[in-house]
Amino acid sequence: MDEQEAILEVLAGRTSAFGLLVRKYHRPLYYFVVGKVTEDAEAEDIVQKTFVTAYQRLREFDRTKSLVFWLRGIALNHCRNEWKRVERQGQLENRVLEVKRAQLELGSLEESATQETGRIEALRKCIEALGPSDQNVVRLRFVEELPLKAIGAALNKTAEAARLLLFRIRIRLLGCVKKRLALEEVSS
Amino acid sequence: MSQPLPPRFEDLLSRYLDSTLTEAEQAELAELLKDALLEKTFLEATRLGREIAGVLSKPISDDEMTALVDVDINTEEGSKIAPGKDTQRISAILDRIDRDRDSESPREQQSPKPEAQNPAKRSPPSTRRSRLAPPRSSPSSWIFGLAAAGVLLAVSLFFVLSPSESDPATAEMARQSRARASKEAEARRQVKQDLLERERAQARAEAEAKRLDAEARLEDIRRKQEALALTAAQPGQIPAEQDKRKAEEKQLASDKTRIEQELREATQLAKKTERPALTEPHQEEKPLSTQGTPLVSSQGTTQPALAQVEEVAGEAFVVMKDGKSLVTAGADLLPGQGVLTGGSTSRIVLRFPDKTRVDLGPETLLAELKADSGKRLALTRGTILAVVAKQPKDQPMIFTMPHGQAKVVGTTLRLVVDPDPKKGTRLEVEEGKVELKNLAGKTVYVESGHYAVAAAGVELVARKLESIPAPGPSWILDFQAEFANAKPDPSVWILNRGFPEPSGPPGVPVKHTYVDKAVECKGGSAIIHADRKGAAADSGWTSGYLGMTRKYARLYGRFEVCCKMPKGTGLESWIRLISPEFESPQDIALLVVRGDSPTSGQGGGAIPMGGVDFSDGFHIVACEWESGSIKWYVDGELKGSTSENVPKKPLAVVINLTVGGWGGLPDSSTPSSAALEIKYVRVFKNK
Repeated sequence: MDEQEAILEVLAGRTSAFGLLVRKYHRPLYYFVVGKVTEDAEAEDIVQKTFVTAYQRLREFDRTKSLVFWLRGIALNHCRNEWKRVERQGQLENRVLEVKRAQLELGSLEESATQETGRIEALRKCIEALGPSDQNVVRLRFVEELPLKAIGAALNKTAEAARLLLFRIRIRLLGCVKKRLALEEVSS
Repeated sequence: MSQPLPPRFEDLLSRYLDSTLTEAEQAELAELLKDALLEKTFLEATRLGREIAGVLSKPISDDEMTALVDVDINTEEGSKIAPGKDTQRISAILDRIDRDRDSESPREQQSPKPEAQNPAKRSPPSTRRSRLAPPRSSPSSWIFGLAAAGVLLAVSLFFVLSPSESDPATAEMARQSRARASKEAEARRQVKQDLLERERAQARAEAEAKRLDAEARLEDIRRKQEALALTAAQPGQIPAEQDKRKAEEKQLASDKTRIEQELREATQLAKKTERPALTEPHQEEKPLSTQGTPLVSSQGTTQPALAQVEEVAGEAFVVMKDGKSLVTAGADLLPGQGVLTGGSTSRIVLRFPDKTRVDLGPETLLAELKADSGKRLALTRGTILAVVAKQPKDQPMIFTMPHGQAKVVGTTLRLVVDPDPKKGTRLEVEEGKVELKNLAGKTVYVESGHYAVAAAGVELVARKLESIPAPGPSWILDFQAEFANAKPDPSVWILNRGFPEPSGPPGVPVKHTYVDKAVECKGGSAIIHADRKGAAADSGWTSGYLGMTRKYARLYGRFEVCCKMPKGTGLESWIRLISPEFESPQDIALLVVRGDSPTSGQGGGAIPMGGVDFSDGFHIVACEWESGSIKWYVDGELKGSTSENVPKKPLAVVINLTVGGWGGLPDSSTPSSAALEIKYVRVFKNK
């Protein structure tokens, strides 16, 4: 059963076909939203919500268009709602930077939606290109989510030294991702 | 990065990403973000962390996501399970369990076809991730539909193909189809049973927590009744004391009846949830945790310890369904067990295998510990301090309180649970980040250095934890009164108690009447409103009066109030220390400020407290009352002292706003509405 058939099946009431769409798109959607959510742990929730909304509104989907872009649009709306919530909470608590960050994210969601496909892949390659010790630092911070003090202790450094090291890695990764995306654009 | 970034920006950005910026630095960084390039870098850098985490972490499997979405789009019961309605929620779960048990009879297991034809009969499970309302008419569960369709297909193939099953290839195809359909059906059944079991277990834990809480409160009442009985036996009681004791006895008896009823209900609920949900075939297959460790069965023959009691001080018990027993250090805690601490010197420290440490303070009931996709701790009342080791991303540690839920991945936090729903649960995060959800379903992320309160009528927001510095080496904080709820905490404050009023000079009448509604809490401050009742300048006014209860009266200490006074002729703001029941005429005026001269307050008899405008913002006024001396301070500056008429009886803080009297009469320039604001009251004691 292909995608179009699955949609028709669902619209005809045979909802079991919706599972095919979930299986096909949940990972691409996850990587699409992971940079746009307020917390990386939120990404799966947004994907889940996206599918539920898609299911509820499948009749509104124009089948002459791409389903994946439609799903991304829904996902972006959910991300937008989350950022608006963060903005409101920031305003309530007078947290200037959180408000600013939420506003920046809200302003760039549309723009980033059109250029995101290769970004995560580029980042993956950039992380792989890091040296083992830098990869370890990244893992400790972003996978283990250890505080700086603990990272410093693991590296036999102070928390401040760990912070500076981590920042340099971040900047390097940002540069690397940009370079890779630019190269891909030229080659394509 | 093609262009070097300003070093200061790099420094601030780096520390922002690692949450170590001060408020001033945050403002500085916000200012720098007016530059478009820096703004872009800021955005990219903040996103990068989430992207890295996304790249490096393993997303959930196709099957899990499919099951989760399935549950959301099919859970019509979801709307019944409204947050904040425990009983309804538990009932809904129980109903669903009952229905599922019925629908999973062996007959139906053997013949799923009618289910597929009329799938509306099926009641699908729900997950904690389920958040959305049910869709348009979509009665069927497509997972089970798919399973049923698979079986149907297999059956059809069997009948269609069986005449020619003599053909080995065809027979093999039919066999494979049947096997596949059977496998799919089994997998889906397993997902469903797993979800149901989790919810049933959660409902049981909640019911158990309520039962244990009711038992503990009854125990308290029994103790109080015994104490009163002893008092009654003492000779020579004056009639007023006897009346008071009788009133307390009556109140205790009434509380006891109410709590006994709660206990009966909770016991019934707990029993109901104990019925095994999975009595169907396949019972031999115990549900597995995500780590593959067998979960505890109701028969529970092999139960691995969840945690060990590392330290015990004072009275401490392990609580089980059938009662409680004393616990000592080194004891193992099994799933389903809980711990209870006694009076003020009691304490228990629990240590989990992953080094997570949970420190329970006095009078704390941790009703149940469980392992269900992560550690689950039902905290009914009291205080805990937890240092949580990094938990697997999909198995967070969850504290369930009567007022909400805190989800922890790895952090240091403090939870204070008050049985009173209005006081609720206060979560303080020292390090890391915790998701706190209240009964209304609202969620807030509480980051390091912040706190949030989940309670009835309290807005769920994260606020910055203000460390309370001791005002000097000889003082330590005794207590602090804050104003997070909509009204001042009635266990701390009494409104309009009718203390003797400063009457005013002859010919200048007091114009106000105290009303309870004149006092409200807003934005973390208590506000006493003075409002003119009519349009004329000589109309009467309403105002408010806040007095601390006897429990908070102290003999000596440093009394500190953060306040902002109103401006206006005829208004006068009073902060005093007086006898709680006015047993002693002695008092201490901490600060009195007339609205017509808000820069010249007075403390004590005539200590000038001027030098600041008390109406232009919050100021901290304090007095240090010691044996034989009192000193007055404004914003840390000593304003004066006395060694005469120093009270020698416990006094409590009283705050009020008057119109007329000693403040003079209001005139046409007086605003028709004025407010005295109090941010906090802190009392320090001598070390």
